[in-house]
Amino acid sequence: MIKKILATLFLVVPLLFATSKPGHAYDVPKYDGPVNDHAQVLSDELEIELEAYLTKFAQESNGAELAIVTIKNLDGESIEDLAQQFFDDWEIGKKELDNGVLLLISIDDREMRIHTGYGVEASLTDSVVGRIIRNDIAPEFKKYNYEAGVNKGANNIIAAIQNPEQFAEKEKPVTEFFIFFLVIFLITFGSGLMVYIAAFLGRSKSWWLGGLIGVVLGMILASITGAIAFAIFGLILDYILSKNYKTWKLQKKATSWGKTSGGFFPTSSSKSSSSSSFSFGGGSSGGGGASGGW
Amino acid sequence: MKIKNPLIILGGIILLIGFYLIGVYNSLVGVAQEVDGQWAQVETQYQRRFDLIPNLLESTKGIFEQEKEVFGLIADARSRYSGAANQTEKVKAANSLESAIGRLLVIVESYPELKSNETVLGLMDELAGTENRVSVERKRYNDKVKIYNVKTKTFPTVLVAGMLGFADKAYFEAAETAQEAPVIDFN
Repeated sequence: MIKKILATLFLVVPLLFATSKPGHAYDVPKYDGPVNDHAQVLSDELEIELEAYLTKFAQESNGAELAIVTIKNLDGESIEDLAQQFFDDWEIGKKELDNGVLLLISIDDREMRIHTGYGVEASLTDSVVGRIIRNDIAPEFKKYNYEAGVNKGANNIIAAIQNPEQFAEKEKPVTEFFIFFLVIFLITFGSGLMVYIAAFLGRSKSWWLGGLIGVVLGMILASITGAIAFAIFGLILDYILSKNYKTWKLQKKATSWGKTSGGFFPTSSSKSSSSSSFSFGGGSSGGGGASGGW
Repeated sequence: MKIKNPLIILGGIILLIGFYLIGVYNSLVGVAQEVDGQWAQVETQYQRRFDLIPNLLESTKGIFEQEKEVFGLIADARSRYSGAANQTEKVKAANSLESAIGRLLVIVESYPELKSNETVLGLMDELAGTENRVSVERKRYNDKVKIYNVKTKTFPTVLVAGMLGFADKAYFEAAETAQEAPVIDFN
């Protein structure tokens, strides 16, 4: 009987006394991948590129789980508290390593914070992340180059983790833009040259020079038109393939050469082969890191 | 036969109460250990803060000649912390240090030659980071104390917690001065 009473009390009383958990004022959203662009300042291309990069980095032996979050505003919270809430909620970093890093950017407040997990505090000291904010991210943000700032920030955070001594700069390739520029240059330069040659021929009295120049010009022009034709073809091809890649990646479909018939046709199954569901590893942070504005 | 039965029942009840007390004791020890462990985390961050300050003073020496008052406060808080006999004194010393550091941060902001110095900026980052670590660990400490206190004050544990030697644990109250912006006299 007494046991019963005790058991009942034991079960019921804690419920009566139960107090609400320390509530979070801010509603931390669920994550989908390492990059969460709630403020919509990053292009889909960069997001995909960064996600692939960060996912790979998280699996490396001396890697870390880096999460990038942009939000519109802080909703009255301090950036430090909010970063802590995101970190606690998402548990960024591997459980036994606590190797999580969070880059939180609040666009309207013009504030950001790099929040570090316990395990990366040695390489990503507060002064190192403070310097990344001041010297790499903030100058780009001042010019509204959010993409460049985030890209630089991510690269420097990774560089600092892998190689605390020296920071290797990594820039995005510019080949596509260069080819486009070259084509424009050739067309302009080529037509200018033709006008000049025609004027020259009209004045000269020789009858064979026209033929000779015609041959030479024909060869040049053929190569130019050929170059233009191939350039246009290449651009269209690249456009189609990139677009396919992007949409399939967003749908989490396979993007490898073999599985998509050379990049033109998607696989019928929507299940991805490798990274079907992303998840952070259960790491925790003691509140380290640095904040800054721009 | 009739006398034996109540004795067995009584013995059973005593045995059950004994088991119950052991269970309560063990679970309270577990929660109390968590509180103490979290307090150690708070102290680690306090220590880190004290270790950082000499570096900052070293790198800003010449410029801070006229800011003697703040450094007096910091030095005072430091010696009080290392001489503290109990947790309450430690918290007091740490809190007065906190308000002094708040003032120091504002002072640094007002010196352009300090704001452009990478060493000083790095040290300020470390100091600000440590302040945040302190507040994070302190919040976790308070959360753990809350769990402990709720447990010890809940019926029926409340009837036996005192008997078993589990007293209330105090919450960590942030210094009032630390919450308001420090006022600096620039005369």
